[in-house]
Amino acid sequence: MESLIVLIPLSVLLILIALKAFLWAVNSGQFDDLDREAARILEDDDLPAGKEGRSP
Amino acid sequence: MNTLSATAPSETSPPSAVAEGCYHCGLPIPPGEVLTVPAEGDAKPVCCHGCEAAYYWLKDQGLDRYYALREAGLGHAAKAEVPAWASPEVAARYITKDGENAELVLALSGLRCAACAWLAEKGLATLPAVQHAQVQLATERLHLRWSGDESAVPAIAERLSALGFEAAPARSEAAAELRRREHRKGLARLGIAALVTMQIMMLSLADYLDLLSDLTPAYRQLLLWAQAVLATVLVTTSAAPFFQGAWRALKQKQLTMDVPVALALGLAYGASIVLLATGKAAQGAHVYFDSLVMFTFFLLAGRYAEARLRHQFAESDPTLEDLLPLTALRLRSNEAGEERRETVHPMDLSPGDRILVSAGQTVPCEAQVLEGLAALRLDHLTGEAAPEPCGPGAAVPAGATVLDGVLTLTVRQPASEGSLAALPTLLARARKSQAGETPLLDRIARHFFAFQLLIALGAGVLWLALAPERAFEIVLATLIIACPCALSLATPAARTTGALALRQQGLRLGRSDSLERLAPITLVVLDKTGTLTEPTGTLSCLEGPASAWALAKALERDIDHPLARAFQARPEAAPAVSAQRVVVGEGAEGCIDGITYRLGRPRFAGAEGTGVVLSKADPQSPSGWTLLARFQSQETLRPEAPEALAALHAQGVKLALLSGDHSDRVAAVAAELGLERWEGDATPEAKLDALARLRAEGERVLYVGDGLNDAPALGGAEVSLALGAESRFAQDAADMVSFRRDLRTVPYALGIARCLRRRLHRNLLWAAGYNVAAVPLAVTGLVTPWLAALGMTLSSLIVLVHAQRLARDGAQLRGALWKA
Repeated sequence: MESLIVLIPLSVLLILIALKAFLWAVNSGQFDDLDREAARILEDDDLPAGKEGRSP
Repeated sequence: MNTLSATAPSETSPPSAVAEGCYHCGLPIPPGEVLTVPAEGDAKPVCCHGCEAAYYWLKDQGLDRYYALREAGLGHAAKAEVPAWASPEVAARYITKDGENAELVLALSGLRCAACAWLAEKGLATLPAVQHAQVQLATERLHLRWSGDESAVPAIAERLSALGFEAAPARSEAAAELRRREHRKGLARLGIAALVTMQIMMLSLADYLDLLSDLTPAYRQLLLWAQAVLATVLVTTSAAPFFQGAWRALKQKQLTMDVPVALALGLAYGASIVLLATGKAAQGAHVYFDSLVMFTFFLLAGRYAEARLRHQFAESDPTLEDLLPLTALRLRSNEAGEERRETVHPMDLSPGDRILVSAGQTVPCEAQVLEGLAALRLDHLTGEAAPEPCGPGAAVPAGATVLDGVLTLTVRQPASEGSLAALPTLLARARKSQAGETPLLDRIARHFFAFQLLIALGAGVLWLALAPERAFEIVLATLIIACPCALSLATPAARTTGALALRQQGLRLGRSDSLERLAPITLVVLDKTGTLTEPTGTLSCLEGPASAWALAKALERDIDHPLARAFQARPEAAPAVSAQRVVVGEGAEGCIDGITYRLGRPRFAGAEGTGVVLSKADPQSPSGWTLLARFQSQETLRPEAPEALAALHAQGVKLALLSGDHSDRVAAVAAELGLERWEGDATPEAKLDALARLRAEGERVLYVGDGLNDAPALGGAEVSLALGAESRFAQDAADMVSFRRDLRTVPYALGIARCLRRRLHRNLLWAAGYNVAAVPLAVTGLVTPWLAALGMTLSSLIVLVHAQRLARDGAQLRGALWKA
């Protein structure tokens, strides 16, 4: 039971850190457009084709 | 894939196949085995199994018409053109330069899904200069950065046009930035509240489960202090707007929802901290951190949903900058006296310049009419809906829209000064449309807050007399439980889901309550041309000399209408025209070599019969006109029309056809579609009359048109839906715009509207019922504050979940309407 004296304040501290991280994510615009970003992961961007590759 | 056939080696394959390239993607056919697909009665080569699969997939989906459209050039590729704003001189005004690089934000229309965004991004990324292209789907903005300057803009605009997107420089960026900031703040508050709420509920659990009271005061104290720290974070960040709002309202001697909310939050927080600090809480006195955080979180969730909806409508609502045209057509005469037209940015106009503004366009700056007659639409400036006629010498304000005719204007003030003058009235209009959100509910709510405070006060006084130690708890419970959160959440939640479901089929709402007005519709009145049928874009000359084409082309010069465009596309050289005038829904008039000509409906041009008639003024003739030629536009029935009408019929609404076209042609279409009620030869006024008559008969009318010849009719029905977004009028006048130009969007919208109404009614009933039932419980002391917060939370959740089911209704409707 004594460990709670450390663990509970620690959990509060962790929450505060998590909040800070969340605020950073919001303010850097990561939640501005959820529709588009959700699909970006599905795109094949790692192909080396690049600009010189195929014509459109 | 048993249809897979040829395995011929490349050297023996027909040379044409290799020259043609892959049937699907157009890339060269690699040497070796050649794959083919059976298309157009022939075996066509494809380059790889991927393309082969794509071909069969399209075919299986019934989409192989894609190939025909592509070959015929009817698809987007044919439309590839550089819009006027993209000329380097004009575009220079819209881009921002950063050393070697230039940046541009474009507003894109035609975006529907993530795949569209992907297409736009990748399509631009293949341009050599482009470094960065990113689409924001929610706001329909494209952020572009490239190395170079404005000279690259035409290529970019052409590429976007070829991909099927309509792009224009985004101008209301300041407003968009404001919305973006508001969205971020709202999300941050909601996120903080969510995290803190979960954490506090977890810490409170120890207390809830402490049935055997074996929690020592020291541990209890520790758990409570942890809650206090988190609650303080919440009260100072997430809940701050409630306190600010309440303060503002009280200063103005008004009651808003913020007042009881701030009171409840302040009491709960203050009392809990006092109990904790005095050590009473550790002895077992109840604290209210749990109620406090849950209450805040659900209030914020409601506000966030509401703000999202408001932003969505704000994004489709044009601002001042959007209303002013992107370009202006300036007339310049050179030394030889020849007139030249040049496209310039409105800001580049200086007083004394002559500009040309034709029907459908907006006047870019304060100006005076030099030549021409026209009707102006000034409603967003003056609030007056009736068109204002004007002639030579009349002053025209910036932002006026020319309804018919072509005006030559003299610039009186540079664009910036004129447009600044119009700002206050435009802002007033924008505010008016916002205030129209939920006026009735707001009015009820205002009384409700006073009532709520009185009840809480009454309960407090009563319990002070009965059992003073319980008074505080009961006041708090009453304040929380009586909060009309679920009630205020019901409408925005349902509308947002409804609007999103419509958006998935390319339907955009012009007003926030359009869907609620659509639900009780009993009769759908359809226009013919452009709605049930689509013009093929070609014309044929039924009678008259070949020279008539040139005259017709001259009369239709500068006019923005599909029929006019068909004439403009003719190869003949058009003679000069003066005193050109357009009569909306009738035709065009103009003077060529001193003779007045008319082109348009037979009646307008003083003739009988059908088609588009060209005639010249002739005092000898009884009608005043002599027929020169007769043209006919080719049209075909939309392929989805029978299916869409059958769906509407199944939904139990009556159907009628109302067209300005000749009765014979209207009758033929009505017969083909099995429509019993139809009316032809209807002028725009006759359409309005017909709609008024139908409404007088007790019908609730939805009018579906393309908004080109029937903009007044769009305003004359209970609800209107414009199919296609060809003209700005249609977008302004219609309650809904279907960007997809698919008739099946009509039954879809109706279906969604009915589901919305059903769900909304149930939601309102539930929310109101909850408040009525729960308040007596709280006043009699049967409900503790945490139970009150839970109840409020649950009722809000039920409302949200119930509204969310609209999305499922939408998916079902889509499945039924767009099956295979």
